[in-house]
Amino acid sequence: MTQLIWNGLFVGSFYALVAIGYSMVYGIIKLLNFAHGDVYMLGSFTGFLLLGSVSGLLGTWSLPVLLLVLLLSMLFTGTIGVIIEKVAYRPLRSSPRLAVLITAVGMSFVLEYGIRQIFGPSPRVFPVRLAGDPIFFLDARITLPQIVLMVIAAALMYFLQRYVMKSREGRAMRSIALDTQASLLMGVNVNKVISRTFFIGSALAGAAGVMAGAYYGSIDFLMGFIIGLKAFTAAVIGGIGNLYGAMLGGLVLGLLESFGTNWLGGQWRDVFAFACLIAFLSFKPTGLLGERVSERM
Amino acid sequence: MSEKTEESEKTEGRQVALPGSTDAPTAVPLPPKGDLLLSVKDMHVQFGGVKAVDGLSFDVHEGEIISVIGPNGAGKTSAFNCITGFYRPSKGSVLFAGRNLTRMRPSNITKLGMARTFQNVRLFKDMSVLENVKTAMHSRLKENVLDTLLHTPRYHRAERQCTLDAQGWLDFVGFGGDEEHLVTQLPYGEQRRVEIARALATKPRLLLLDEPGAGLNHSEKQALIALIRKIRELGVGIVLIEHDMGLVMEVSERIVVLNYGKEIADGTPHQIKNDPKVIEAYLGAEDDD
Repeated sequence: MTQLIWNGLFVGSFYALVAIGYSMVYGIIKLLNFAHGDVYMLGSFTGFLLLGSVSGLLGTWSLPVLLLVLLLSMLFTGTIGVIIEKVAYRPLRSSPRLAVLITAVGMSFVLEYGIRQIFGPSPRVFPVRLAGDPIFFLDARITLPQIVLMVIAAALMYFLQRYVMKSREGRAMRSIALDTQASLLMGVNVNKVISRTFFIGSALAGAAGVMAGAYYGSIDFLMGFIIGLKAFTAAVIGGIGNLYGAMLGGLVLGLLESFGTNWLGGQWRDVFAFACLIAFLSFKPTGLLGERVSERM
Repeated sequence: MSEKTEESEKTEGRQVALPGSTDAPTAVPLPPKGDLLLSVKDMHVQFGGVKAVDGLSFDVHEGEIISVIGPNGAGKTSAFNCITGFYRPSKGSVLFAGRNLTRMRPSNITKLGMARTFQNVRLFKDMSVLENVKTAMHSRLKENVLDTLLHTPRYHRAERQCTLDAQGWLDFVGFGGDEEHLVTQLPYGEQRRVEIARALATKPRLLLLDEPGAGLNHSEKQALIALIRKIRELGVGIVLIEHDMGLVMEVSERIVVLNYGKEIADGTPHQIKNDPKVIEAYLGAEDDD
C-alpha cells in the first residue's frame, strides 16, 4: 500500500512538471500545445548529449554533474519553447483556434522526426543511471535517487508557485489569462509575457525529460508522445489553466495509475489512465480545481 | 492710473466687437488649461462597408474634461478603441503628446500616459482588489527573476512600495471595502471605483472613461462627479463617454457630439444644449408643416 502510494507520487511528480507547461500555455493563450510532450523528449536528448560530453566526470561526481546538466537542458528547452511560440504560434494568434491546434500537432511531428533524423530510430541508453540501494520506509521500497528527483521536482514547483503568485511577471501572466485586452491597456507587454510563459513551461518539461532519462535509463524519439497525452490528462484532471490544478492533477494521475495497474495489471496502465481522462471529461470537465466551463475547446 | 484705465477700456472695447451678441462668453473659446495632450484629426474607422467613425476631430489639454456623446451606435466606443490602439484608423491621425499613435502597440500607448476604463467593467475577475491595481504598475515596477524567486530585500522593497501606491489609489477613489476581496465579490459601484483606481495606477496624463456612470444610482453618480473633478485637479486630461446628460452637462467643459459616426457639434455644454442639430439627433427632426 505505501509502496503504491510512493510509486504513484513519484511518477506523478513527472506528470506534474510536464502538465504545468500544458496548463500555463492553455491558461494564457487557450492553446493545447501538443508539441509540449516533445519538448520533454528534447530535454532527454539534450541531457543525453551533455552527459555524453562529460562522461569522464561521471561516477564519483554523478549527482552534481547531473544537476548542472539539468540546468543547462532547462535553459535550452526553454529557449526552444520560446522559438516554437515565435515561429509557429505567434503568427497565428488571431486565426481560429483550430488552425493553431493543427500547427501544434505539426510542430510535434517536426520535433519527433527531426530528432529521429539526428539520433536514429532506435532507443539510446542514458549515460547516467540513477540506481541506488533501497531504503525501506513503512514497507515501501524507496531509493535515494527517487528522493532526490522528487525533491528537485518539488523545489521547481515551489519556485514556480512563488513566481506566478507573488511577482510582477506572475501578475501579468494571470492578468493576460483573465483579460488580454485589459492587460494591454495596463501597460503589460503581452508578447513578452507569453514568451516567458513558454520558456518556463518548456524548461520544466525539459527538466522532467532529463530526470526521466536518468531514472529509466533509455530514451527514444517518441517518448514524448505518451507523456504529452498523460500530462494533458493530468492537466484536465486538475482543471486546465490552473497552476495548482496541474500539480495536483499530476499527482492524482500518478496515484490512479499506480493503484489501477496494481488491480488490473501493468499492461492496462495506459488504458486505465485514458479511461480516467474520458471519465473526467464527461463527468467533471472543469477538473478538480477548475471553475469556468464556458471557454473550453 | 488714468492711462491704465484707458488701456483696459480699450481692450474691453476690442473684445466687445460684436454689439448685440448676447452669448459673448460662450462664443469665445475657453483658454487652454495646459499643454495639448491629445489631438484627434479627421479620424475615420471603417469595418468593411460600415463607417463606424466618419471624420472625428477634437483636442484635449491637460486638466480638461471633454465629453463625447451621441445616440447608441454613434461610434463613441469605436473612437475610444481607435485612440487606445486596438483599431487602426482607416484615415486621419491620433497624436498624443506630439507623437503619432496610429501604429503603436496598446501597451506602449499606456506607457506614454494614456489609460482607460471600459463600458462593461473589465477587472481581472480571479484577482483581489489590490492585485488588480498592482497589475497596472507592471511597466514601472522593476524586479528581476532572481529577486522574485529568492525573495531578496530588493523584491520586498519593490513589492511594499507597489502595495502602498496601490492602496494610495484605492483611497484616492474612495474605495471603502476590503482590498483582499476578489473583485467579483464587490457591488457594482465599487467595481467601477476599482477600475478607475487601476487606470490611475498607470499614472496617466489622459484618462478615457467609457460610460463611468452606467448602472450607478443618484448618490453614486454625485460621488463620481466629485471624483472626476478630483482627477482633473491632478492635471489629468479626461475624455468621457456618457449617456447621462445631467452628468455630462454638469462636469464637462466641452462636448463633442457624434451621430452615425459623424461629428455634428463641438462646444460648451450651453452651446450643445441649444444646438438644433444635436436636438434633432436625439429627438428626431421636427416636421416642417
